[in-house]
Amino acid sequence: MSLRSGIGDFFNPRISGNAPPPSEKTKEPEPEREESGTWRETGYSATDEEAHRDSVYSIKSVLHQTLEVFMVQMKLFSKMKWTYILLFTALLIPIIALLAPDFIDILSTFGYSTGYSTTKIAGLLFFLPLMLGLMTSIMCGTQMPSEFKERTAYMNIPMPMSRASFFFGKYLAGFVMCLGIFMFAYSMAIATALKDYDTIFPDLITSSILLTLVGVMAYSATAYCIGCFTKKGSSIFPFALMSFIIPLIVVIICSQTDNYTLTLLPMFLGEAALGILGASMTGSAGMVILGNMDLTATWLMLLIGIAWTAGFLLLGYIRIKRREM
Amino acid sequence: MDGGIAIEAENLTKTYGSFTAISDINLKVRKGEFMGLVGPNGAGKSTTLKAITGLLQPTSGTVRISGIDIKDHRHAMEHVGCVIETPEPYPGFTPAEILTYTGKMYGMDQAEIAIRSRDVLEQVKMWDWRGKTISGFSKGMRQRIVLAQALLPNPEIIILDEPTSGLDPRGMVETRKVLQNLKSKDRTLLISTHILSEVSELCGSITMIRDGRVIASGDVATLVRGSVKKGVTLLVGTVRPVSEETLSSVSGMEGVRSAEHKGDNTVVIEFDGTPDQQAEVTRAMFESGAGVLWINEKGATLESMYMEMTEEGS
Repeated sequence: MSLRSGIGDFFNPRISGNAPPPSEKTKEPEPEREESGTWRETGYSATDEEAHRDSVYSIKSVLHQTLEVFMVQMKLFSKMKWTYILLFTALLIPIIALLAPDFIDILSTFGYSTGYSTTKIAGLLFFLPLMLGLMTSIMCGTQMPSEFKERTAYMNIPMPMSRASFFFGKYLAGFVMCLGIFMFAYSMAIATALKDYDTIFPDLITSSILLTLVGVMAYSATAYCIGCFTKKGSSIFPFALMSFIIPLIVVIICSQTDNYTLTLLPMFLGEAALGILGASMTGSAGMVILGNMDLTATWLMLLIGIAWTAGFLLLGYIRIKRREM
Repeated sequence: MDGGIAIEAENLTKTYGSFTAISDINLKVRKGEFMGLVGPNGAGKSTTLKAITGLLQPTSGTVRISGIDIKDHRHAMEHVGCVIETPEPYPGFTPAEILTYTGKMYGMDQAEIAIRSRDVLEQVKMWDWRGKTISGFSKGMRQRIVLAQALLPNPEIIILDEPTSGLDPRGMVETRKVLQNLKSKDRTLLISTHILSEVSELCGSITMIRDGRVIASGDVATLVRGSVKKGVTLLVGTVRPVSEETLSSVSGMEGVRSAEHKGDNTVVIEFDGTPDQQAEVTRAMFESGAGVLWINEKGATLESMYMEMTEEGS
């Protein structure tokens, strides 16, 4: 079977469908085969004996099973209305730029230089830090709690797969979904900026995207882990924690101590991603200390973000592994 | 399989703080055996099944499935299909999608999934609903889907926790038919149920749990025969009243504890002898000239044994 039909078959399993042509004619008609040559509308050719043979199956690798969980979670996302709402939000970027260019100019000039395409991009992505918290909380914060609340975990966990496959497969899907939406937003912003500017700065954009990527990892891991510890799950709490509570505490500490080391934390990756594009204002609580962030230490921010992600994922995994059902 | 044992639980104990849910549960299910797990509410049946299937970690004791420790969950459950604690399928999926996902997790290829899906969905009478979203299904329909999901990978061992609860009478009958068909395929079944008639119909052996402990285990017929209430009650319906002489004669026969009239044309005989002696009593009634219309036998049943053994303080 080809890869294309394999992928297609996952989303559209061929239990019923167009049948392949009959392979060969038999002398006596077999009552169990339909005229199309498939076994009872399955789309596959088989005799009754073949269909009812006593087959024994062997499970595939942990990686394979993790990817299956990932695919199922992606399919679940495709059925959620929030996925399309958030995609539409990214789609609004060029629409607003087209319909309300003055609004974008206001954002871009509000402490920005408008002479570069990167600052225009930063203006178009003004709310990126806020959206980092909101989007990851919505997509990842309720994934695990909903499995237990809706009792779908009782279908999954007894299957012959490790809890690690279940945990990491779902996280991976949440991360990829959020990352996809942000990359879509970046592409909209870049395309819109290129309308007015001939030059882009790939190294700055790459750094910005990398910071956003690690930001998505860290935010989604945090929301996902918090979800593992709650019964009902919450989109509000992780969002509030990562986008307001911790940033505000850091702002207070930094202003009191005049030490801005804490701005290396993943809560400020969104601000750093826009700051590196030339922004001096962002639509987030962390914007007040954007000017004090050390944007030359982006590599350190990335490392801390990755370590933060790993720590929260480990915490969440331990919780799920030990969870009694 | 390890010495023909499909499921083995040794000294299984689970405590939650100071509360002991199950204590020293020992359970062996042989390959091809159908075993019922019975007990009153809160006895520890679900806890036992959850410990066996790896849904919770026992405080102490071991569980082996096909000789594999349940700690190696992936391999232990490789040939097991189970329905524990009323699982639900994803509401936004269709039955076809659920079975495709399940099949892939068990290592089945697409053709096998399609063919086996047809088979199991037909068995649970859900083939016509294969493309419909599960969110619109009733509880009974969703239960059939999870049963189909458990049977899809042609498992050697099936573990079910009250599979017919929530189903209408037709659904119960059809589910039992599906499970009975598994006998011919030499499958192993461990089923927890409140419905004793289901156990009588399906299972050759039972394990009875009360207050977290096993109080009886073994062959159903042997356990029932060995229960406290011995003997049978024979009710004989006749065309004409049975004479006092006949009653007196029957009362004196071997194995007969008592024989008396119950109404004009019915005789009640309390009997605890051998089958051959029972045959003699029956022959005597036929030869009495009263014209035997019917004979009913009431004896120790699974229900009576269950009631006796689960009675408080016993």
